[in-house]
Amino acid sequence: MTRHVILRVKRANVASTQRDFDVPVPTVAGRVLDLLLYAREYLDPTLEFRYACRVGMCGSCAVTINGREALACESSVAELPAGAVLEVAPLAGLPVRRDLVVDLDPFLATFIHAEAGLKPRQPRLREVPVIPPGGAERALIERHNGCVTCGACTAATSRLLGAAGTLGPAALNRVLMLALDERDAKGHERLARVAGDAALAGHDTLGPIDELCPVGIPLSAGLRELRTRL
Amino acid sequence: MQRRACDILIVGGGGAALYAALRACDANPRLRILVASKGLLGKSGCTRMVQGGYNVVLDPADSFDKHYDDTLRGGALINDQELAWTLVTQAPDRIFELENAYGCYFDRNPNGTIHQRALAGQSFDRTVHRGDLTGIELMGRLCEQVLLREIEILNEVRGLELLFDRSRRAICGALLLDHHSGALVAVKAKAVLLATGGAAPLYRITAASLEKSGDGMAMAFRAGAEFADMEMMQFHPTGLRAGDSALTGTVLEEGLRGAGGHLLNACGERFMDRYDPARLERSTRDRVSRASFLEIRASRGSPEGAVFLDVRHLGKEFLLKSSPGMYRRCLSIGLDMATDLVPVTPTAHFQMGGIRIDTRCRTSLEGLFAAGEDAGGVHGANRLGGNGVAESMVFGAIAGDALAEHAAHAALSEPDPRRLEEIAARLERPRDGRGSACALRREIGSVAWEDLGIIRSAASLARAATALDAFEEKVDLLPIPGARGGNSVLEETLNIRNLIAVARMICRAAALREESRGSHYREDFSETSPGGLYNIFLRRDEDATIAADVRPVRFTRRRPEELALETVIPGASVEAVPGLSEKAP
Ligand SMILES: Cc1cc2nc3c(=O)[nH]c(=O)nc-3n(C[C@H](O)[C@H](O)[C@H](O)COP(=O)(O)OP(=O)(O)OC[C@H]3O[C@@H](n4cnc5c(N)ncnc54)[C@H](O)[C@@H]3O)c2cc1C
Ligand code: SF4
Ligand code: FES
Repeated sequence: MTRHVILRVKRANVASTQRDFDVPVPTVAGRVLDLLLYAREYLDPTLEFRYACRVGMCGSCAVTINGREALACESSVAELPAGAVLEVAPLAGLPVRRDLVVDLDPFLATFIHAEAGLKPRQPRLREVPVIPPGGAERALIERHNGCVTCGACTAATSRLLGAAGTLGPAALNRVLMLALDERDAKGHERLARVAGDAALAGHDTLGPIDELCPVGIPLSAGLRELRTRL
Repeated sequence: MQRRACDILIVGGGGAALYAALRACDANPRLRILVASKGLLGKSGCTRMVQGGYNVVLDPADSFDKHYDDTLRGGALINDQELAWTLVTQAPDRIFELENAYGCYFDRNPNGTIHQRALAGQSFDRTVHRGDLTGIELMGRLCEQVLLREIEILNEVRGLELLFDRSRRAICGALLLDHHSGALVAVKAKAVLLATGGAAPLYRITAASLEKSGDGMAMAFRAGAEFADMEMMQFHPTGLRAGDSALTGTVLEEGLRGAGGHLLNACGERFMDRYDPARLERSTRDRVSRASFLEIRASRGSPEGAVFLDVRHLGKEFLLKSSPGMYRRCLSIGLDMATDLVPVTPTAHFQMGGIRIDTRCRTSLEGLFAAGEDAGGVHGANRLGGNGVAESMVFGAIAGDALAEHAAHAALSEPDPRRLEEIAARLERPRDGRGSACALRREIGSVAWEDLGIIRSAASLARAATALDAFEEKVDLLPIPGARGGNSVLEETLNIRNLIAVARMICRAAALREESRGSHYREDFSETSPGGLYNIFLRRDEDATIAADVRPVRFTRRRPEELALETVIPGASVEAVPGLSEKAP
């Protein structure tokens, strides 16, 4: 027999701010995303949430699940007992557009403010430079690469520190990678821009964000590292 | 209706769209560039999901000729030879640009040179990658470069229809729908690019990102553009089968078969023995997909319709090293590849057919350009792994340059007001209709899967054609509740209409090709015919039917007799995948 659970969606835009959906748990491989899809198809076609790849690669589906930021497509519901309540809310610290959908522009703006993209030294070079992966810088870049810009860490930081005064760990993580990147021409200027960032000062309290990052980037260690480079 | 104007309108938010935006902007930073994407820019679409990597000739021991011949063999010799040559010869410059100008981090050999491996059908190790999650790298870097330029982004705003000028000859913009506000936006542009990806999600089981619905192709079809090779749709043999979960259909890397993985049916039999005894599981994607499909159809699959991928004998250590992302994905559904069989099914993966373009990404309509999966011809009857994302980068760049050039001497013109009214009127739909969009979508997916998919016949195609007629009627009756903003039912209805338009073209072309070639397999014509070296071109006729034109392949660079017809998966060796292995469980 199919087991049902309660999907409790915090809806910021509609009259009642919370709605419970009684949903079956898929027999294999159920994710929070599957519950949301079921609720929208069979119970409420107006329920809004984001997803695209469904395999943890696009970072579109980050929400707050039982108080913690996570990707809906990677959060298993296989262990939930019948009748359990699963509370899903939009990411903290960003304006809500509708239901679970937040306005990501302020998050993307942190990358623009940080100028978090390569400013190339040799944009027209017609070969692939030789860069041994074992070098100290490259090895560190490698550990910090792979961000899917899901916003989970930045939302958690605004929960833990308050949103003011920080670009958030995701943009700062990219700044660190670029500071280590021999192909980049803007290292110091970019570092100067982020020097006063609150997350750099408060990195000691940000340990919990490491566990939230769906791709396992050591974010708090990165903030510490970045601080030593200012 | 809101009105806007720009120089260049790019419809789509995947690899081809972003590349085009960057190149157009860099060609002339004063151009007003507008990018409208149905999903989030850089996050939606299949480029983001690329695993294996990007094919490119970099090693002096490799050559353009080898890559080219592999591509034509893979395409069963019906590729547009000029487009394929463009792909191969411009792929290196895009890798140099991705590395040096946009800052991608590609995996390196221990000595610091770029690492290249081989995917199926390659005669040389030429696939550049970052672990088994290359798409995140490409899209992350392209996206940040776009954010740092003067390029206007409309997120979650979809292209609805192309607009003609008053002469009804040239495309002069497009009508968009803003998902959140529900606003219709008529955009005037000097040049329009379609880069919305293909229609693999037409099928019940698909690997593609789920928001895609062949929108660019459907828009271009309704506008009268010419299409090539629409019978060609690629199925990947090892999609995960995970019950009702949305994970069903997602791809497990081909390398697992290359490395010696076995496929078993429900009786535990290694069934490739019967289909391709020489190459077994290392046979081509189309053959393995077909074999699995037939086993499942003959009730030799699992009750939910799967066969099994067995990689247990490869050992945990190897699996962790060679496919850490896949290992983790299986583990997350409670399957340890080192000790468990993994249920798999063929899954609709990539559409080779599409809008006909020339080597400057121009379509048959003035002012309209297409690049990436929307375009047809590059891959012929089958695409090699690693050539898809190369196509998006190479032709995205060409399109960007061509759009900038076109915009330099084209003028803005007013859209034909009659057409605008027509389109707007069609969106006003019955609120008290019949049926459910989700249910209809599922029905279409099943018909496509059974009758338009891996195995076709005159009978199945006739069934599909009749079913598509019926679906067309049903879609017009679907009720659309509520306001236009944030309306998932309205979106799905629009998706369905577009999928039907694409499915009709697939059906028509598949019926015309009375032979089997590449990804197109006819049960009633199971051989590859020597007379099959032609392409099928389709376009919409005056009376909304489909006109077909069959033209022989133009062998401008290679004669068929110069190329033997075989491609095989290379055997993989245990090799460290730098970086990712550290993060594996
Ligand atoms: C799981 C998977 C793995 C793959 N691995 C590889 C690989 O290893 N190597 C390789 O070469 N190829 C691979 N491919 C194929 C490759 O992904 C495609 O060839 C390529 O990404 C297509 O790029 P594109 O830019 O044309 O479209 P996409 O990247 O699919 O982008 C389409 C974009 O258009 C948007 N869109 C859709 N409709 C509309 C509309 N109406 N209006 C506005 N925007 C719209 C979408 O939201 C999306 O942003 C893989 C494909 C899949 C599914
Ligand atoms: S660093 Fe991790 S948690 Fe933060 S946005 Fe990137 S992927 Fe998400
Ligand atoms: S849907 Fe892409 S990360 Fe979840």
